[in-house]
Amino acid sequence: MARRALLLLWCLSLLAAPAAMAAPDLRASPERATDGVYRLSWEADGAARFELQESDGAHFNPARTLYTGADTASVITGKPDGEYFYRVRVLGESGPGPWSEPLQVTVQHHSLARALQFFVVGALVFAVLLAVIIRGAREDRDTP
Amino acid sequence: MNGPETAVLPAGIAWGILGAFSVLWVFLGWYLGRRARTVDDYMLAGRNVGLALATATAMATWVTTNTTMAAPQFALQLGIWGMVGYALGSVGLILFAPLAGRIRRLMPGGFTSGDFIRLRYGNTAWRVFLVISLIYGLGWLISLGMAGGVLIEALAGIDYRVGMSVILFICVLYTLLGGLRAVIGTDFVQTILILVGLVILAWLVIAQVGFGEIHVTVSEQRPELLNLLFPAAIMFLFNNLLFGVGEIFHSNVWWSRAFAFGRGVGKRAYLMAGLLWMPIPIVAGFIALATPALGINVPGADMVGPLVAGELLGLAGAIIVFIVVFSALASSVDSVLAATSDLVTRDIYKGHLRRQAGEREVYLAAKTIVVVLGTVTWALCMLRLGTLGAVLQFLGAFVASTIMPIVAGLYWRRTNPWGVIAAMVLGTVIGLYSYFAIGFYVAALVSAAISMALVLVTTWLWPRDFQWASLREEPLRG
Amino acid sequence: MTLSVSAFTWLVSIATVVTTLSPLLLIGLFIRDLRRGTLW
Repeated sequence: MARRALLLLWCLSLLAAPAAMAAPDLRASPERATDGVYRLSWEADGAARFELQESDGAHFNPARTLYTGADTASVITGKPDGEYFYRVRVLGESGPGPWSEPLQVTVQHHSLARALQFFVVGALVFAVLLAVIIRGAREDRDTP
Repeated sequence: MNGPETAVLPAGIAWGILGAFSVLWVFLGWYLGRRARTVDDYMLAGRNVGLALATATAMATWVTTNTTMAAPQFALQLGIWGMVGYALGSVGLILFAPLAGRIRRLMPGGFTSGDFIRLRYGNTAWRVFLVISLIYGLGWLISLGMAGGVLIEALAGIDYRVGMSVILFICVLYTLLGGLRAVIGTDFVQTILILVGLVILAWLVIAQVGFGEIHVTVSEQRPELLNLLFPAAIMFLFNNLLFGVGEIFHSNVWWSRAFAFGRGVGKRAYLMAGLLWMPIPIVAGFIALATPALGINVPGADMVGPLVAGELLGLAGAIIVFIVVFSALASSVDSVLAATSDLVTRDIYKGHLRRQAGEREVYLAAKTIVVVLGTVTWALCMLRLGTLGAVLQFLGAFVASTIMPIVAGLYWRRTNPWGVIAAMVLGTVIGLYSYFAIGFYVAALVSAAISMALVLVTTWLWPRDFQWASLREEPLRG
Repeated sequence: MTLSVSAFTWLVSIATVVTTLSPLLLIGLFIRDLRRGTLW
């Protein structure tokens, strides 16, 4: 009995597939970026073209189209602190499919103070290194 | 597949280029190496390399796929400081210039960086150093092999395993035939090809897109890239510099060249190579910043360079990128292969397994080890573990821990050997920890800082004495 | 704090010009070494 129901379901799904285009599955990696860099990727079976939109809010009003085409990923970089929302849909022969669920990405950069700490440590290590080499090279030249 | 949907270059043309250049490299390798009979000839090109070839080989080896592919990637991710930070990678070459002169004078008969550590700090430090060096050498080889496979697949649609195998096979073949002479001779041709290709692309971007438009579109769409106070990029700056210094100071790739360059050549060659290399990442990175102006979608950060070239020049652009990439790959694979196999031959085979081996046996062992190392790299590349960026940044923690041990060993008589061992071990461990705890852009920095502190403190508290003359002793010589 | 257009232009222009000249310099050096017989 269960098998029959499953078979029926499978037949129905075959019929249903071309009619209602599924929304693509959208993902971001990472979803919290500390350097303003993340990669959006999406997939949908058998779809050839996609449209990707970005917005500051979950309502996508206003929304900006970032990309239309056949790629299935986009690398976003250089984003300032903030919340960003993305959605993607299939552009089919018979018109666009439904939008995916909005995906939220948070960008929060490392604090500048922390970055400058590392910068100072780096500068210090470099300065010591430079001093040792310059002094050594000078003595090296004096003593043949 | 997440790369661009269609390959930019028809596979037939790609095979043509691969074939033609492979024949050229192998011919050059055979021609240049045909008279090599001794270990000095094979491993160190006769120890008398002139300025032109010396400069070109230092440049070409340091221009890897990392420069041609990762510099655009860093520019796209970390912006202006990413480009400049990458350019500071050449500081390593410049600082190595005085070291190269001193190395050749202190150890006129030396072969490897391992020789130095063994004679300077003793066997324990030598073994720790060998572990770091071999992990780095093999890691670099694998990341290069993988990069080759991935790029050829993305550019021409040739299967990853096929492309990777071809590159490794060709490099092993000509290194085997000609030793370091082949490596250096091909490096010269490869440097010229890389530079010309890159310059053509850069001028095209300037002419077709222009600085103003690039600046406007980047500040609209990717504003942090032009921000001079971009936190992650600020951390990256000195990290990349120290990573580069660590790679160059410890690696036998650079030491074997210091031994191979003629008297007085090393210092000038490294200095000039560093100065000429410095603008290259800026040029390569700049190409990536044209993506917003050209409206190019970037599906994977490591493919920016080829994408822009394809957009601007179509087929011709794809051909240029392919030649540049193939040259950059070959010029680094051959160098790392030769230098790492020298290290294995000298420090593992002769140093640990067959101490009584004579000249002839070492010469044959060196050739066998090139093949073995090539095969091991090939097998590991077939597994295709992880992404290449991750593999490479991981190594920063290892190599940066060797900076101070090398410098203090070369210039200070009183450096404490146990302090050096602690510096290498703890620097690496804590560097790796910060890689996972904070991010890839601090691993080398933390490692270098810890290692430097340990060398300074131990040498200050417990100084040891050392006679420079003992570096000239060659107990391993057959 | 954004990098200005002029600084950006300068940075990239200098880098591009130097990179354009370096292959010529290398070939020049090669010819010099070849004539003097100091290639290897």
